[in-house]
This record gives sequence, C-alpha cells and structure tokens, in this order.
Amino acid sequence: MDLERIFLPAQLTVTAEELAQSNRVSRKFGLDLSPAQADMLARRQVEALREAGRIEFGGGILKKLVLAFCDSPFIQPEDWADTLAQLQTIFYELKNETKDRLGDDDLIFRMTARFNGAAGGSLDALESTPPEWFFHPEAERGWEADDEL
Amino acid sequence: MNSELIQRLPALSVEEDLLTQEALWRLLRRQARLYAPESSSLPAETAAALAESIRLTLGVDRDPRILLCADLEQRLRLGQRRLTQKVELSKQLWRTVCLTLPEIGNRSLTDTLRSIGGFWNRYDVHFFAQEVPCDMDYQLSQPVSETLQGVDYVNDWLRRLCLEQDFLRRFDPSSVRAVVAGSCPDYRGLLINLFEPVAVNALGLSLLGENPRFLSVSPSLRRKLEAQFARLTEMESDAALSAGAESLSAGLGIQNRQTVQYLNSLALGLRPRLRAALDAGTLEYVFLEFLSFL
Repeated sequence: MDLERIFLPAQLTVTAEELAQSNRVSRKFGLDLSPAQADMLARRQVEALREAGRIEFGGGILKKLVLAFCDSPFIQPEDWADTLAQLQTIFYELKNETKDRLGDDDLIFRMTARFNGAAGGSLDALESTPPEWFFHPEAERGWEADDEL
Repeated sequence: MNSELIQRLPALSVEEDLLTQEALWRLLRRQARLYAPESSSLPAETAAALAESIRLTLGVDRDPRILLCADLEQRLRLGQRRLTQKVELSKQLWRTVCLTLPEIGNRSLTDTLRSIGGFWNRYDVHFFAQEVPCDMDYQLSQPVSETLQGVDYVNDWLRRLCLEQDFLRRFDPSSVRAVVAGSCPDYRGLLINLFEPVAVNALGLSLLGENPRFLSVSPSLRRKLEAQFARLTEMESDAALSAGAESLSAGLGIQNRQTVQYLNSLALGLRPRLRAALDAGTLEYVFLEFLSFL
C-alpha cells in the first residue's frame, strides 16, 4: 500500500489550512508565515516524516508547534519558518527516540521547556538532548545537552 | 488463496483499485487513532502492521472487493469477533493437545506448548491480528503454510499436532519410544518430530502387508522393501506409497479424512528420501528396527 501516493495531496492541504489557523495566533507575537513559507513547511513535513520513517494520520504537527513555540523569547521573526522546519524534524526524531512513549502534546510541552530552559533557545542543544531527559524533565540538572558539556 | 478462485474473480479496475486503497486508508487512520490516541503519527512499520491486520481481519486477500463495501467498520468488528472465536477454538485445541501428549518427552514440544499457553493473552485481535506472539519451535512433520497468519496459523499448527498425536496414541508407547530413539538417540533434547519416524516405520510394514502396530522393521522385511522399490519408477513409487498410506489408515482404523490425507502426504514426501537411500544401497536408516526390550 503506497500511503504517500494516496494521501500526500490531502495531507498537504490539511497542513496548509492548519498553519493558516495557527498563524493568526503567532502573528500576535510578531511571528508570521507567508503563504510560500507555509507551503515550504508543509513540504518539509513530508521530508521529515520520510527521514524519520513515520506516517502522519492527521494534518501534521506544525500547528501544535506554532502554538507552543510562538511565545518563546528566543525566536526571531526572520528565523520563524526555518525554526519551525527544524522543530518538526526534531519532533519526529524524538518521537522515534522516545519510542512513542510520549504523546504529541507531552513531547511538545517538554520540548518547549527544554528549548526555553537549559537549551537557551538553541535548536542544536534541543536536538542533542538525551531522549531520557524527556521522560524526566524535572531532573533538569542531570541532563545537560552534549554541546553544553 | 485458492488459485481457481483468484482466476474467477475479475481484476479490479484502476478506479476500483484507488477506491479500495482509500477505504483501507480510512480504516487505517481510524485504527491508528484507537491504537495511539495521543499521537498523530506512527512509525511506518507500525502503520504497515496495522494495515496488515485490517487486511487479514476483513479477508482482503480473498476478496479485495470487500473494501468497496459501505459498512466496512461494521465488517471489521465482525471480523474481530470471528477472530476472537478462533482464539477460543485455539484454547480448546491446545487443551486437547496437552491432554493427549505422547508418553515420550521432548523439550521443544513441551516448551512450544507452554509458549502457546500464553498466546491468547498476548494476541492482539484488534490491532495486530497477523502476529503470532509465541515461540513455536517444535517441528511438525508437515509444516503449516506460511500464508496463514495469526490465530489461523496457530490453530492449523495445533490441528496438525492433534493429528500427529492421535496417530501416535494408536501404538504401544514403549514401541514408539524405541523407534524415535532409533531415529534420534537424543530425542528428548533435540528439535525433532516424534510422529514421522513412527509413521514411516508403520507405513513400511503396511506396504508389505504386515501389522503396522509392530512398528519394528526387521532386516528381512527391509530387504523386501528395498527389492520392491528398486524396480519402481517414480510414478509407480508414488502409487505404491499412496496405497500403503491408505492401507495403513485402514489397518489402524483411521477414518478421519484429514489424518488419512496427512499420512498420504507423508508417504508421497518419502519418495525422494527412499530414492536417495536406495542409491546409497540400503533403507536401513529409513525403516528402523528396534529390539523389543528397549
């Protein structure tokens, strides 16, 4: 069954619609996505899923990432689209690395805590956080990201 | 799937093919949400396993057109109920097998039955119906078709073991033990089939018109078999072996058609082994003699 072939067009449409909705919220924080950037993000989602070896059954995770990260003090408006693209890649990687033991909302909540906390707004630091940290974010001090050591 | 049936079913048109794939996707999305309600995505291999489970539960391989039906969710539930009933059947088969174990120990058989004993607690009818979550190391004489999956595989395996054990129970346990020991001295510890050496010896005796219950094939009887098969063509050998299997079934009072068929398959499968042994000059290691005091 070629899942991508059948559902990719529909998924891209749903993702674009969801981004348009979340854009209305992020705009209040000065973070805006152009239609071209939204389109780019929807396509990067397909790549991120393919790289992570995952299948998306909803519209994707971008809307939740936008709503969770749009109030971060570390994100600059000019980096917003690229940051989102990297965040969704990191998200799907972490879903795999945490063996799907965390729901989407839980994982995003912990990603924001890490990003705005010890990672200091660094996507590299977020990405190199040991997966175990996300199960025990309260033990912040014991889980320094590799690039912080 | 029966190849004649496949030929009778007209192929799906391109449009129908797309519709069936979309229907499967809708069911898959529903199952994915039920399986992982807090995640919108799944690893591809998990998604593929969920899709395989849906296909098995609906019987898509038998009839892909079932995916064109309007009431698919209802059909999926019915399929799951059917599988649950099959799980109940597997429990009955397992109990029967455990109660009719031959009086001859074999570790792989007991380990396999112990593992199957936990099958129904681990089997997931709703999401992974195609999986066989138990270790089935014991070697049957005639293996289950690899096209069978999940509880269908387990039930067919248990049915075959029932046939084999029912056959073994028709013989004196000490004779069975002696033949199996002659075939494999470490029969308790190694991965061997207990039925086959006994059935082959009984078949040999039936081929000669002897009482199959004696089980031991003496050197003089063996030489008769060697002389008989040395002059037969492959086709004649098959006919003789088939007739021997019929005679064996009749001699043991076996009326169950499945057991008769099982013995016939065993007999026909023996022909290449007979030919190789005859080429080597003796059937000594095919038809075994044992001493009655063993």
